[in-house]
Amino acid sequence: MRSVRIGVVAVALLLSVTACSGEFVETKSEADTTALVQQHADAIAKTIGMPLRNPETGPAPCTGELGESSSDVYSILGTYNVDVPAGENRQATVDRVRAEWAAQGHTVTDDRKIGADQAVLTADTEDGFNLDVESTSGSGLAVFVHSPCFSRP
Amino acid sequence: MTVTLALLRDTDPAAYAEAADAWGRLAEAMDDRLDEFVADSRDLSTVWPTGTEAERRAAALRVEIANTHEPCRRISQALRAHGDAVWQLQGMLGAIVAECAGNGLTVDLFTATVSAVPGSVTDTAQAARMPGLVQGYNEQLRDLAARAVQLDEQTRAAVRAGMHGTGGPGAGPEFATCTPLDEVTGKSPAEVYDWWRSLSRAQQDQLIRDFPERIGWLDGVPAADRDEANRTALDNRKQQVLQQLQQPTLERDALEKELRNIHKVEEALNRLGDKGFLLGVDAGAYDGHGKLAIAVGNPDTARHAGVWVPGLDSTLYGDMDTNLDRMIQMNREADRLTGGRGGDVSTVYWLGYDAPDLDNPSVLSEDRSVAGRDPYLNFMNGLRATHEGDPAHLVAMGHSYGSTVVGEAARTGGLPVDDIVVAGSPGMHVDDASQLHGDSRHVWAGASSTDPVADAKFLAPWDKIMVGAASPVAGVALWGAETAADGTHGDAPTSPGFGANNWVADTGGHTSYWNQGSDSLKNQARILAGMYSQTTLNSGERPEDIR
Repeated sequence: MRSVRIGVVAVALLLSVTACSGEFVETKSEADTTALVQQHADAIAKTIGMPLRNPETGPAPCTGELGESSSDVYSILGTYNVDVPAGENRQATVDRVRAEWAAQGHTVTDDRKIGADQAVLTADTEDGFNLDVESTSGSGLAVFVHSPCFSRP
Repeated sequence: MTVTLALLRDTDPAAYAEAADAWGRLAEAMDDRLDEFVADSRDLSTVWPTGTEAERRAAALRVEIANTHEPCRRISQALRAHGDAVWQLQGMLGAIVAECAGNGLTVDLFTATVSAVPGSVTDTAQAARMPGLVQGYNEQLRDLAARAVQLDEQTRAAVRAGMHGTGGPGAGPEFATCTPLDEVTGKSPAEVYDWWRSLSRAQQDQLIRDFPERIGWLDGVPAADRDEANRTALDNRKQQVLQQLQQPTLERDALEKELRNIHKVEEALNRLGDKGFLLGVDAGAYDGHGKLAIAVGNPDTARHAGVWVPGLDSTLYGDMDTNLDRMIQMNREADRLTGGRGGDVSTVYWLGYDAPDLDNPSVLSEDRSVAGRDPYLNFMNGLRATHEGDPAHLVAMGHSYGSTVVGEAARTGGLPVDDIVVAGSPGMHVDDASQLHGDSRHVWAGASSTDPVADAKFLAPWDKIMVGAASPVAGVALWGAETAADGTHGDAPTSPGFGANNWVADTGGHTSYWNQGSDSLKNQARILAGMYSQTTLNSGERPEDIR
């Protein structure tokens, strides 16, 4: 029995070390992480000047490079839609988001303008969140906020 | 109310989707109540033999409830199609208005005409172009306005027909016998769909009640009805297994394995809630590996549906959580990209074939791919037949060995999909993307730089098996077996010269293509949502976005 316990502990330790990022993951409750995701989304909406629509937040799995995962390690994904202010081109809206992210110190990881009205802008925040604002097939924008991996308390 | 482009602009398509959902719920509720009423009143004549008037009224009420279901469902369909069409027309209108603004023209949405913005014409060349531009845009706007009017008339007629409907083909008594199900043996999914629509609701309910296993897997039956049949079949089978386990039996291990699979499906359905559609289940199939098709979102009402085939060593029990997570994440990402309404996207986890095993060399053979070909083809043709309103954007998706099933189906020329998306594919049994789809811009393949499955044909297959088997890490063994399959399955679709669009996969290894925030996941979701222009590609040519 003892060797089984040691094995379980070893596997759990391996997962907490390697899942997602190859580093130790912090411990944080789902509620706290969800609140942080929402804060990032609210900040984007504030910059755009329009309310978030179709909000949905929920846990998402964390998987290591060898496919390892653990029920104790999780991330939170927030997905939203947001309209652009009347008369504003979506690329102009995304320009304002980019400027705000630069001011916040986020690291832009993808920055593309497509055609006359489409754009993709993604960034990593200093606290490890991934932000993504991109055009929808309609006239608005999609907002994605991915949290880093955390371990449940 | 006069239908103008201004009205089109100001209409909220989501409101129609909500109304469609409400009518759909009403239809489902009527269906549920009918089942309950049939069960409650079935023995009336036995317990009250002299109550002929009560029996007559109960029979009449059964017919009335059954007749109400179908009109409610059709109104739901009409409203959903209307919302979708409004959303599309708004997109076209927005594009025209934006173009006009770029050309110094302003649009009057009440008269559907354009005119030059004062002061916008600054040179003679522009002045010379202006009349042609004005005429061209006026024609586009008139056409758009006419389509809006036509849409309004069509929807109004459909709703009126439903409101006054007496059930149409949905009306009628139950079958006197059960033989009608034999009529569809060997029929195509489209023919099955026509047959199903010709039945009364009472007849459909009777078949779902009496033959849930057959209806549950019958391609061409609408998703909501399959879901109802499969849930019934699952529950029936669970009771049978539990009863058998109460008795002495030589099949205890197999029964316990099947029961464990049944519990896993129940967990999955509980997790998905209203978004879960059980489109096929056989918990005891393939020597206990199980067989399953489960959707996140209704594929019959979604505008974009992806049907994903998993790869090596996938079993119902062992991989349900991981694979369902993948479908959920893909769904959430793609659904927001459509931006119109929730439920625009359905992602289906299709384990309708016996995936190769780790403990034998089946992964090195084409047998399992070929065996999965026809079931996958039928399933996809079924979705084409049962979709409500305009045809959906239907996408075949596969991972690893699952991509060989997709390849086998596609190379027949009978796979009715708009796009093919694979990740970590060892090969798709063809030499060129054009053998999978008429337009190779709609074949998309991605592979991580550290995924050996798509990039290892230079090593002898059995060398890799030995390396994998010698490793203490199961994932390495899996990689070893998968990479050895390259020799059998042909060049990976990510290979230079194959001709597929090669999307950027920024994740590591063979099993991380659905990691949160990754380009790997985003690119697959963008394709599923028809937002091709926002994909990132290593090579290839993107088609036009779906609007």
